[in-house]
Amino acid sequence: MDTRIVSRFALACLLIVTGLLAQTGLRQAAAQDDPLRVVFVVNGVLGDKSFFDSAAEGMNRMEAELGVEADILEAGYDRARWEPALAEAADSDYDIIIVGTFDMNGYLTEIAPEYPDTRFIIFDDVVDYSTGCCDNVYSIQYGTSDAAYLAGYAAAMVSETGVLGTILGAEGGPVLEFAVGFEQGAEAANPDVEVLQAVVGGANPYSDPAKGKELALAQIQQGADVIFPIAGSSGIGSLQAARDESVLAIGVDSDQAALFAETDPAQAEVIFTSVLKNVGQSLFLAVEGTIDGTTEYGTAVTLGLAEGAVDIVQDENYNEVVPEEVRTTIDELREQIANGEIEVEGAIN
Amino acid sequence: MTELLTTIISATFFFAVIRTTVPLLLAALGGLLAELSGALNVALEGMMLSAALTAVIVSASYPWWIGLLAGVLAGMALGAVMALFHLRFGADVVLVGFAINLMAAGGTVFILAQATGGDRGTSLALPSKSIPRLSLSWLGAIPGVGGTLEAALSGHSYLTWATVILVAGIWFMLYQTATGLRLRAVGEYAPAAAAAGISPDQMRALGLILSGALAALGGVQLAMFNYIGFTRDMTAGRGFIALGAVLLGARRPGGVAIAALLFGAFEALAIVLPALYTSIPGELIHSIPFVVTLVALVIYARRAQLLTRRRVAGVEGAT
Repeated sequence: MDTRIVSRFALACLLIVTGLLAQTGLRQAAAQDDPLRVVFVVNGVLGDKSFFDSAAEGMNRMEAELGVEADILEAGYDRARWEPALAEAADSDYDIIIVGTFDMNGYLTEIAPEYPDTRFIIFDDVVDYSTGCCDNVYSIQYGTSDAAYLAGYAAAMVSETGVLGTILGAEGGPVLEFAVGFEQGAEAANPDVEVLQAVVGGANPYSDPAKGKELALAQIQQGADVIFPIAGSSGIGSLQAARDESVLAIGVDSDQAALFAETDPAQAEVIFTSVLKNVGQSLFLAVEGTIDGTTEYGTAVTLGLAEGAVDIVQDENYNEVVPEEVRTTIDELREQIANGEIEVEGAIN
Repeated sequence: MTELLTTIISATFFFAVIRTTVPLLLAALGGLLAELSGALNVALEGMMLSAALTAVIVSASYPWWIGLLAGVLAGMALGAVMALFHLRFGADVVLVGFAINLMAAGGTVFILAQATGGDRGTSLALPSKSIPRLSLSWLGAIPGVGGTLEAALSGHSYLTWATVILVAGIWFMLYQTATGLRLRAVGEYAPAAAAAGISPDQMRALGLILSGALAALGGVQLAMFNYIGFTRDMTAGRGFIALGAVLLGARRPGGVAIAALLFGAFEALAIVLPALYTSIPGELIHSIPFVVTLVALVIYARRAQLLTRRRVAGVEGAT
């Protein structure tokens, strides 16, 4: 009895997998020999309204404006499927394969040397070039400390208590990059500012909204009146805490106030700005550079304010919360950071 | 040190402890019933997650309590599925449990996308409701301790109070009713219970379905009170911690409640400590709940060992 059910279950799984494979196979067969074939292998699914969606937007733009053929392959949230998905993409005749985040770094380092004729782009992390493995890999990192500096400056200026709170998913490079920039900006505005830092950690650092909310509530209890969560969906919980306790908050990666504008105006109102990581723009530039021959594979770049890869949201809400003279200073600071007069110390490289 | 004490001895900290404890405790009570009936329920996590999503989707268009009921029904349905595969088709209960967890992890994302029109991460597009807070402001009128009582007890969720009643109710069911006795008998030694005319399958099905309902309540509290809304994988391993609480609580309702409270208290402590002691590495503080669990399990195992030894010695002494 037992074995029959197990074997039936296995058969069902097999059928599903074959079905999926057949589907991707068809999609590839339909494509003709177009000039440049680009695929974005998502280690997750689209619909995060942030990171991956921004990348997908960049893919759509390059298809429309650069005439490349851009595919997106969603590998899902099961880690075990990420490496096979990347290998599958490498085996198909794509010219450029794009992956993102440090989760894909290890797989990429293993697979890239096996396909010397294929070019790879990794965003939000850098491969280890010192091993000589990756002449065909272009790494894009985001100097989010630049933009977070501006947000930190604004936060310290609008704070009444002089206490700010940051909530990190895990203490990884890209997350710390935001945090250190934020702190420097806050200290530039007010040397006596106190920046509390909490880490979600645990089994699911980026998808535990209840914990993100608890951490924010604790920081608010300790006097923080501006909360800056850098923790994916956990951070959404922190934003909710800011709403419930009527303190200000700063969004991360994408314009998070816009996410709530229709369904939860009270939530949108407390998010007076967001630190943007413009993944789509950076991918567009990288692929455009590949066509022009300016993208140097085998190297890493850190894109900041100067390249338009990061920024903060300056909408009506921002104008309302941040006083005019502070806004003027922030615009000046942006110039100074972009042209190198102010150097923001980052956490990556 | 005084700073730590003033933080811990405050209504806000007490609330944080209760908030982190309740979802764990509800799921742990569910785990307890299944465990006592002899079917280890490793699917608590998936049941919580499915119920959380169901409650969020349903409460977006109906009153909160209908959302809550829908969540509970979803949990019970999963419990019934487990019972069907385990008891009728003879599949291994742990395997079925893990299958349910996998199904819930993927299925909730799929259904979320259907319900929100393409959003696969969060339910921001759904105006879901929350479980109301129970206001006990009349406590403040009591002279002397009134203010403290009001600060500590007024404003918890309805479900939090229901949980207190459930702990007592489950104790009563298990130890004071025939059903409870049968359930435990089946879990203890099924052939003996069967010989006495009790159907082990029936009792285990009951255990699994009730287990689903309780785990579901935990998920509902998480998605309708602790945080209002759903995000992918939002249970973040609480179902498994709850399973730990069942064992740590010596498989008794009171013990399970204390174990869950212990987890909740240390979780809340790990939240306030980093801000007070910036010199302590965060990783160390985060490991506190796990270290406490380990220590508690060692103590528990040691005690059980001693008891067995004493029992053996007693038997030998008698002969």
